[in-house]
Amino acid sequence: MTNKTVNEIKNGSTIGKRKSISRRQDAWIRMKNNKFAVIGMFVFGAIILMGIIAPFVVDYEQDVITPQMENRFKSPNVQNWLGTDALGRDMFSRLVYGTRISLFVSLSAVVLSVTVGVIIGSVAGYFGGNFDLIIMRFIDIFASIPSLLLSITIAAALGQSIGVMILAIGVAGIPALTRTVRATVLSIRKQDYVLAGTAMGGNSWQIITFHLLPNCIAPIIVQGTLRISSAILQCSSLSFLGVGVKPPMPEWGNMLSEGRNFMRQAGYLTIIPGLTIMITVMAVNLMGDGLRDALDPRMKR
Amino acid sequence: MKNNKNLVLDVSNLEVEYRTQEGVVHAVNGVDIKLPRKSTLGLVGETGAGKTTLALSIMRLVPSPPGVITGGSILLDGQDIFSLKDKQMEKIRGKDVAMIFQDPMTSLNPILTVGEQISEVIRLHENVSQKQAEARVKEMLELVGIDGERMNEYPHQFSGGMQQRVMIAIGLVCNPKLLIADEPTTALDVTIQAQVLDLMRGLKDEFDMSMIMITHSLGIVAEVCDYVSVMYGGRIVEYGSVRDVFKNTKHPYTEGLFNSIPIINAAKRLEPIPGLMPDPIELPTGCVFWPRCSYAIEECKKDVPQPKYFNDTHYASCIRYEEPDFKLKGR
Amino acid sequence: MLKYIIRRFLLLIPVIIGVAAIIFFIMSLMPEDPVRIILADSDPDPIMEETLRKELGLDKPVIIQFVDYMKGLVRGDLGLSYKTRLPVFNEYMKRIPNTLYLSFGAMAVALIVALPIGIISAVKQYSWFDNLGMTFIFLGLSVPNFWLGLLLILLFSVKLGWLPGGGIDNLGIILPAITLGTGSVALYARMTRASMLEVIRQDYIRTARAKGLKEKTVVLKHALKNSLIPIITVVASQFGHAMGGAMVTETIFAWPGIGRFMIEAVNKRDRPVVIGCVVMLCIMISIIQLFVDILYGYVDPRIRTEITKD
Repeated sequence: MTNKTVNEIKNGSTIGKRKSISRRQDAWIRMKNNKFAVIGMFVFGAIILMGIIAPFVVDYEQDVITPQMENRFKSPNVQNWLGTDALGRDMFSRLVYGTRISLFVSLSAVVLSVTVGVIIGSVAGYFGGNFDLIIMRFIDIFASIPSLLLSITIAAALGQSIGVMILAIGVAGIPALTRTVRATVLSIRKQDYVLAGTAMGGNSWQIITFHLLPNCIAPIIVQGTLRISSAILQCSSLSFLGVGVKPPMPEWGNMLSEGRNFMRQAGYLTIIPGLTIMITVMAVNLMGDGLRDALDPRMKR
Repeated sequence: MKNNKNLVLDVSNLEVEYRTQEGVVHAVNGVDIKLPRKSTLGLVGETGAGKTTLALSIMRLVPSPPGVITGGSILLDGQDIFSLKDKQMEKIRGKDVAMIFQDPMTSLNPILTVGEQISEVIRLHENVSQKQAEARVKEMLELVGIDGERMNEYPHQFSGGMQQRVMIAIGLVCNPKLLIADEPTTALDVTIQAQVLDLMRGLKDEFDMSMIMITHSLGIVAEVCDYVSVMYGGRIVEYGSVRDVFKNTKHPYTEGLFNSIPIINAAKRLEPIPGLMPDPIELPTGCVFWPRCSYAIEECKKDVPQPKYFNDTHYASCIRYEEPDFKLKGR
Repeated sequence: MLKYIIRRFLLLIPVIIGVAAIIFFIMSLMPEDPVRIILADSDPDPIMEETLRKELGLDKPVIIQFVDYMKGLVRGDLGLSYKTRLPVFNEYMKRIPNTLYLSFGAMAVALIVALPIGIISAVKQYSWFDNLGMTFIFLGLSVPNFWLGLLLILLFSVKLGWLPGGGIDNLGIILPAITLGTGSVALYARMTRASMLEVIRQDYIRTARAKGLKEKTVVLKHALKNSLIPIITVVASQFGHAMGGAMVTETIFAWPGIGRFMIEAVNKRDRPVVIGCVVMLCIMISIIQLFVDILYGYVDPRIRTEITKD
């Protein structure tokens, strides 16, 4: 009759079936292919590196803090790559040190936002009901205060230090993270494998930790990365307005604020710190966008 | 074959592909359609067979990128539509050839009234005044069974069946020579389906137009169509009058389709066609259907089978008919 | 319609109480003694301090202070500034028009730039225009707006002398509006593009094309109007955050608005001003939001039937 075996007919053909790859592999491949994201990663990595090796390359006492009045307002030259400021201090050294502060503050703040956000968001999303309602109302109220204002108020009330800045920026970032986590949890909660987890006898905490949270990781990473860039901006804004770290600490915002007074004499004092902020923020945003494109399967171009 | 002057639609060897990130999707692979005036063609096939792409090609609405028409020609009432400029094609769309789509809920603009959406077509193609257009709109609505007073309501205020009637009104208002209906009743409840089909049958006669009815239901084909094309893997595997194809089925795939329909009184078991539709990026060589065909032989893998005619209009593309005694098992 | 508005206002009340509470309690954590702030210019006089303390209710527990404050709020009394002893309410009303003027100016600038970019980028997706637009958007998002303000001053005011770096006249609004608007341009353009892309994929666009409409008509008449809805959402919700940006912009350009006022108040630990302004802002933003929701009803008939239902 025919030359095919019964089994061949039964199973149909394997011709034309596409290979499948795991989601993580897929994400990584897409990240690698995204040239901009890779550039962003490298630049950000370089900046972090700069911050880490700062103490070994630059002497804090001498270059960053101590005024050298005879050296004031030198434009960028061989000795001072980025020139000197109003007090004669080397801009490059100050910038490098500023990196440490900005990165430390923003990364810590984001860790704070993410931690609190994950806890509140997952609990609210999982348990739902009135509990969820009350928590989210509270978060909504929190979110209706402009975040910069909230940060400023906290900083003003609690003083000017790195710890307060971290707290202020971190707290301002909680609503966004909470909402993201909660939304993800809500969408996953109804799915079957959570039901299966319950059927297997896990209690609520186990289910949250082992089943829900691993699936939230992607959105959290994306949100968290994007929050880093807004944290850096907020950190500079706070310092610029005078409620962040106090001079003579070389935070980028501080430097901008100082430079502002001398726009006529030394325009570069205004340009350089801002440029640094912008480059850092851009690098992080590129990374964040790349992560989002890579991890969110719906956003295929 | 057919006198070309009498054809409202003449598709020859149409080839359409989609160039995507994952690869080239061969959606339509050498399709011929010769549709005479005032006749209705049913285009049957499972999802992914290429029916919608074929329909969109006739309207030159294939989304591009990623779609590309790579070969063949389409003559609409004798006119080569591939040679037309965009402006000229716009004049034809909605007027000489119209299309209605599967899901009426999403196919109507939610922020324009139903009346606006119908009159838009009129005023685009005909030189009429506002008042005249409105009168025509009311007329059309009544014709499709909707109260003319409702022309100022919005789509979301209508039920699914009524929305589809509105779509039909939009399609027919300029009296096209050819109406393409892409699964018009699939998204509707069964009882509403019957109503809409009835309506379409009546209108078809009244407007004296040709129609292509795209569907995956053989039942609908039997109700409404004169001819039927069976599509698989971007090709037409069997074509003929409804009577010929239904009573005298020639292609194994068509036979498989009929066998998949449950018949209430029959003692026979359902025989589904084994396997899955082929991945349009990597189509099988030779006959598209051979991996799932219970009649397949080695030869089937080699070349694309040519149509074999059984009478003036009925053909099937199966290489086994080169054997003098080949017959299907029948059902 | 009226019921809808009333309902919205009722929902507003817990939000105001919540916001006021949060700010109130944060500010009560500040170490400086309010009385000392008020009497900063005079010599320390324990008796006067005690009297003042009692008068302002600062000797009571924080919660009672808060309740008293809320009671005052209902009467429209937001207290007196620690520094100027002027009513907070009046000070707010004096300055808010300047901020609104600036904010709307910024919004106009942003929309004029962003909408065309967003629309064209979406319609000609993947083209060079799209890529250029996306790059531009991206830069706009990453630029710290206070830096941009300074740069603009440096260029147009200091170096070129074309535009003033402050002052509230017609020329004076240009630089601040651009500065404040830039932050929003990126967001609006992105949103417009995303919204248009989404809409263009819809079935009813295909129907519109099948009718034989010119592509231009399809885009402008069918796609754009449908895209507006998410864009309006973004513009409205952005407004609150624009307030934050306004604070910085006003500071840089010495613009006499509410943003600069609040920052100075925070720096001077002037609690009644801070809380009063935040509460008033909150109310104002909610009213704007309400207007916007009614605007929705005008644009999207589905929502119109929803609103007018009761």
